[in-house]
Amino acid sequence: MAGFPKPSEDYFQKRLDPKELLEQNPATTFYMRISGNTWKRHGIVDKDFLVIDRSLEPSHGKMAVVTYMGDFSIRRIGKIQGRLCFLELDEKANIVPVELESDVQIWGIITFVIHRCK
Amino acid sequence: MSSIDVNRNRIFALVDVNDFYVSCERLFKPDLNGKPVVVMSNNDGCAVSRSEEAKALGIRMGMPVFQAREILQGRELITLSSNYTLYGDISFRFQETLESLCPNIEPYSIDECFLELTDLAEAKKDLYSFAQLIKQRVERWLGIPVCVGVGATKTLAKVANQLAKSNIKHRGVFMIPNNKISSILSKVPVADIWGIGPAYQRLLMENGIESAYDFSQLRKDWIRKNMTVVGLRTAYELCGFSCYDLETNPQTKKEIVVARAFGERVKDLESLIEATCTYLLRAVEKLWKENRFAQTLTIYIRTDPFRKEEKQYSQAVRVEIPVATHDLMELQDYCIQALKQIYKPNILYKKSGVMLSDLVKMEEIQADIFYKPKDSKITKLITSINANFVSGKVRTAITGFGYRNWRMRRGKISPFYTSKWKDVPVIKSK
Repeated sequence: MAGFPKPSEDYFQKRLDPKELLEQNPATTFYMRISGNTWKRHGIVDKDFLVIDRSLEPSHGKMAVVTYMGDFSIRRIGKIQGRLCFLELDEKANIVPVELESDVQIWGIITFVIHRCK
Repeated sequence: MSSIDVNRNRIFALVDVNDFYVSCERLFKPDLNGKPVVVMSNNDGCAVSRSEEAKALGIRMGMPVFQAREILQGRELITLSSNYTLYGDISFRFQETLESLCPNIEPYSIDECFLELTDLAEAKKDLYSFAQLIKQRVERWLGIPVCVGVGATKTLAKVANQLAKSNIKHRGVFMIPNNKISSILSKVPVADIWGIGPAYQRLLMENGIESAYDFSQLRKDWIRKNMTVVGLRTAYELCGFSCYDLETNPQTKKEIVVARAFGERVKDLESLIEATCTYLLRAVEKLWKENRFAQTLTIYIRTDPFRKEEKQYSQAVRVEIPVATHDLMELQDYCIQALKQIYKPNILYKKSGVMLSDLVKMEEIQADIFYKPKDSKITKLITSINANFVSGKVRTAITGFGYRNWRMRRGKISPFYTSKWKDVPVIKSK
């Protein structure tokens, strides 16, 4: 048998690995966890895990982890006429641009939210 | 030039992370930015990584932490235990990030990488912009600050990196163009050259050689005679002739050392055996990973040299193993016998260590005809389980259970942000 490959070898496939989906760039992918329900309207609730890729450029509409006054927080990034800003939902759920505070740094772009179904 | 193979027209870069351990901690603790922070050595003894703010307050490398606190006189200093799991992970990410820009990299230490840019089209187009791109990419992708030095040889890249780091004006990127080598090296002290240790430094100073340029202009036969071929290579490298290639295959180890200070000092033989056999297991795990057999085992113990008022003692013993082995049980027997030989009662011990040396490959083992190799199934099992889980998870009973006073102190270790789900950073609602 040695040396003669089984014809079926061409059809082998690995099982699905969620890492392949979640980590486009493994070197720059980090995980964080959410505590509290402030971001519920963005679909992120207490105890969810966030997948964050630091290699992605901030672009319009993306959610990002930001640092502000030494803490982590979440913001929706906007790019309006080439300038970065934040987008907040108002009471009527319209998105409004907010000036980017100078002491806010974008830490990384959120690519997935891992939510455990109850 | 007989035995030296030199190459012109090559380009190397050295990328080095600033204050690596502190920078890794800050990535996950943004509140540490702008504050004086030090990461402490094993057992929380000395400062091994310092933030710029801590350096500015006069905290030196290796300074005992209690001394650092005395200097600060109550001003805030943040001290952290070293978290090598985290630093190791960031180090691999650092290498991967550099590989996204350049296929030829040599990890030189946990926080430094050499890159060869010679045949890289993008680097050739505009070398300085490419060096800046490297810096920006690592900083954006990993959030750790780096300096980049570029030159025609590894030695020149190292010099350039130091200049990038020490002179704020260069903004972390410095290049040594071939036509400016002499003028730049004339301002670099001979002590700052990569590979010139204190002994050669003294020799050169005695001969009136002060700058790296002076050294590079010395007569080659004088260097060869007084500083061996290694010194000669360094001199050629400083002239822009490359003698060192990237070492992409990590060199096999010549010896394996595991030595640690105890959390608290110990007096009894039993604790010494427990601790030292624990270090031995770690060393044997490394031995299997390197696929080597050890011909010599050295065990050493010592007291705390900083406690001058106490009785001082230090002793090492070397065991020549009849036939090179990688068997934990066999090595453990020698280890225990050795400790019994050098142990003295009524002394407070602070540190012990294990060294495996004369490492050989399987086919190099010299056995006599009466030798029957020991079956190392147990060691194989232990090391393979530990390699897949956590080092030291499976071990021999002699290494002890429960609280042990010799175990390392790591009072202020940060969470394992990238290796344990329960430790990932938490974003709190406000």
